[in-house]
Amino acid sequence: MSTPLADVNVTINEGDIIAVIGPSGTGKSTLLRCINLLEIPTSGQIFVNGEEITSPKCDLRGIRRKIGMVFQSFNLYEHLTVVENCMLAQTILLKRTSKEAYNKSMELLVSVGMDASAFKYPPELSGGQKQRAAIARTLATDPEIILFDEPTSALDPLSVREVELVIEDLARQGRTMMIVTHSMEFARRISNRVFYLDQGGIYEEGTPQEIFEAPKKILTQKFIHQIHSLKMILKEENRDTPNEFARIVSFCKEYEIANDRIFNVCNIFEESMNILRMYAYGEERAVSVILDYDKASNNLQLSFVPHSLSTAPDLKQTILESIEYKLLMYNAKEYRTEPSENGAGVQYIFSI
Amino acid sequence: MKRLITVLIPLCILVLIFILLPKSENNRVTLSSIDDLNGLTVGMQNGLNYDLLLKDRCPDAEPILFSDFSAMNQSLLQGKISALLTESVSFPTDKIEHPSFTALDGSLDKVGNHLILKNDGKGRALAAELNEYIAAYTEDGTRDELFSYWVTNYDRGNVTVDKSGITGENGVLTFVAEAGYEPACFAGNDGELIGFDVDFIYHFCREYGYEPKIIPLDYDAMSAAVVSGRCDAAIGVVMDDEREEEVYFTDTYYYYDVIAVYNGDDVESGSFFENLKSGLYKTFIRENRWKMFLEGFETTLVIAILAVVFGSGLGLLLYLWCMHGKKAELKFTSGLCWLMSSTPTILLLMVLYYIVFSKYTLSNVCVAVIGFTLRFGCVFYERIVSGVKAVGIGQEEAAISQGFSRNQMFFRIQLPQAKRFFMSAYEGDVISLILETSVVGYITVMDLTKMSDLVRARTYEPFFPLIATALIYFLLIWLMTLLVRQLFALWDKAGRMSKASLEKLKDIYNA
Repeated sequence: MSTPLADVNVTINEGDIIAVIGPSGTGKSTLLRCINLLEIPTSGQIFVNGEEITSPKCDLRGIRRKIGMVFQSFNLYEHLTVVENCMLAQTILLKRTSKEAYNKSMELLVSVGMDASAFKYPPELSGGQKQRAAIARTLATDPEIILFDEPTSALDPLSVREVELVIEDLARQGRTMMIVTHSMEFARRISNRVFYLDQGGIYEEGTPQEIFEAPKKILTQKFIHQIHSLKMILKEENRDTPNEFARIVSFCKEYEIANDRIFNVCNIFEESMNILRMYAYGEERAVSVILDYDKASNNLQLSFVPHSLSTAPDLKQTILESIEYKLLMYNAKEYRTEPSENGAGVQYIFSI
Repeated sequence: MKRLITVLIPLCILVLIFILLPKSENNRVTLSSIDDLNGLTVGMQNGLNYDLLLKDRCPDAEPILFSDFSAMNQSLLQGKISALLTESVSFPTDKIEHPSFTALDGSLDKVGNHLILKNDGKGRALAAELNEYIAAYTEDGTRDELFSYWVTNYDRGNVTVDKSGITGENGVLTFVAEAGYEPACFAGNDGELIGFDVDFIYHFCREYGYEPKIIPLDYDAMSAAVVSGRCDAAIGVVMDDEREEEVYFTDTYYYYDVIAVYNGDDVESGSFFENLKSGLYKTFIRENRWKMFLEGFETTLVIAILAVVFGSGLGLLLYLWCMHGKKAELKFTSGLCWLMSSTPTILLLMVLYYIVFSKYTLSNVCVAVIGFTLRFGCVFYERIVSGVKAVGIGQEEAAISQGFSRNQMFFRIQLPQAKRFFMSAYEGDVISLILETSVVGYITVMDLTKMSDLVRARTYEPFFPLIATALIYFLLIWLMTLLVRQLFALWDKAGRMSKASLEKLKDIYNA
């Protein structure tokens, strides 16, 4: 179930509040869970407070006591009341008296607004209440580091706010925290460093301003702008045109693109392919077609990257010429060619 | 109490139905000779090869095999069989209890009774002494004297075995005997074993300077007991070719005839309440038989409680061992569980008693406790595994991330919750353990079932001992489930403070 993280090399300083973002399946939770060794890395070293926790000599339980963790699915001890959940680790691990533990727990439950439910059992609570109780339980052992593993992903919108407010409050107290989240807005509000995870590691790192306003690398940009892509590699010898159209249409329908725009995309796709095939195919006789949709700007972009070219035609001009002949509609906002890293070194881009 | 009533009501209804139900048609026949048995159903005990005798004499008769003597008698009374084959020695007592039973003239066969011993040097040496004594006691008329006392002029209720003059200078001999068989070996006053066979053993031991110890055992388990060395000899065994391959037979110490018995004239039976009164008297009061039930109850209770306690401990230990261990531990445990759940209880006990522990001086009750502990432990282990699975991985991760050790996590978080999932199943396991203990008679343990069998063999009355035993088992199960529930309730509270006592702790919060 865990995603292999191939290469991660990072230092986290005291007081850092780190938001970990990225597409699903890129190892965000794995990175987090490695820090208290819930997930054991196959190689490499992890240091906490200068102590190597990946070494077999390490007092792992002692280290874990200093690292609190809040889970997506709360994981409260269901046979105990909320206050007992907060007291258990205090009395057993920290050897506090019941009185100390109780008072500390109640103090924390007040701070997360859960004191009224202190004697309720977890199944009696709402999702937001459960997560706030879990945060209080985590704080009860005075952790130096707190890890949040998608703390709001399992909650309804109202509960998300409750829990985010509690976490923001903690952030203001200057605790060292690491939060895996899907909410970019929340990540931006709370963190002072952002890790964007992709391609088996930390793909890009920066302040929230840098990552959210001016991401430098392409995958970060796509993720931040919520660009969705459809990529098809079309080889002449095994093309399946109806299937290609079906994939384009269903991709567009998924993002609720209007029918006349879809019709346009299909037209430009078909005409461009015809032209590339008749005039331009080089030896490889294959084209990568990428359809990107930027949700924020509602921009639809269709790119063609021929794997080899014999001549480099001006697609727009040729289409326009043939449209007169075929009486078809052409309605692209913008047409340009750009150099490309792969294929024949050129890509044709239509904005529709 | 409520539970008691809810069970007693359906029980009363069952008894009422039993009384009010129309009795089955009595297909009783009057017979005049053994040859009349052709074409009829004839009951006999299994293991004695009487079916072969019957086939020789009356080829068209249909043999029906019984494993229980009093069940066979009852079948003849109710007309489910037309006749039965029995032994000339036991018929006189049978006739006292069932006056309507009539023996047909003549004998199907003359059969000799033997002792069997282990076929090794020690066994053959003892057999030589026994043979010597058998020859002498036949010669000097002691045999006829014993036969007259226990069979021909048998004075039921006024017989004893003279147990004096035993020196034991040559050691102790352990004999096994099928104890539910009057007049050869049966439970007399206070459950003491007496009878022809017992008297014979005491005569022999007195003569040869041994001290006898007689243990009741089912006929089927005798060879195993002799071969494993658990006893020195078994008495009251009929010659059988296959058995002769395994064990060493002595000479015949007395002969008897196999005879056929049918249900003759109807004898006025008393009213229901008179029968109930005499049944209760015979089952519990006469010869202090209630003591036997009490003894059996104690034995069953001890085995059940010890097996539940040790078995729960074993299950827990197995789980902890697997939790800390790797694949090998898990494989071993699941193999053990598979073995335990796929072996019939009787087989498990017999293997433990007659093979595994045969060389050790462990008592039969100890072996029974070990057997049921293994069985219960494996069941309990599996209950814990499925209970912990139902709790889920999430809380385990939470506890680990807080810095709990595996043991703390298991005892503080997983087990208290797993308990909720396996609690009712555990109760059921305890009940089925108690019921399964009823087979310990196979390894010579005198438990409740065995005691009730012994009483039944004396009273020739299947109804009351059976119902009484069922009621005692019910009581035992009721007590045990009550105990288990009480313990679970205590466990729920253990190590936790109530809301009220917690609230007394607050100071900062209220201030």
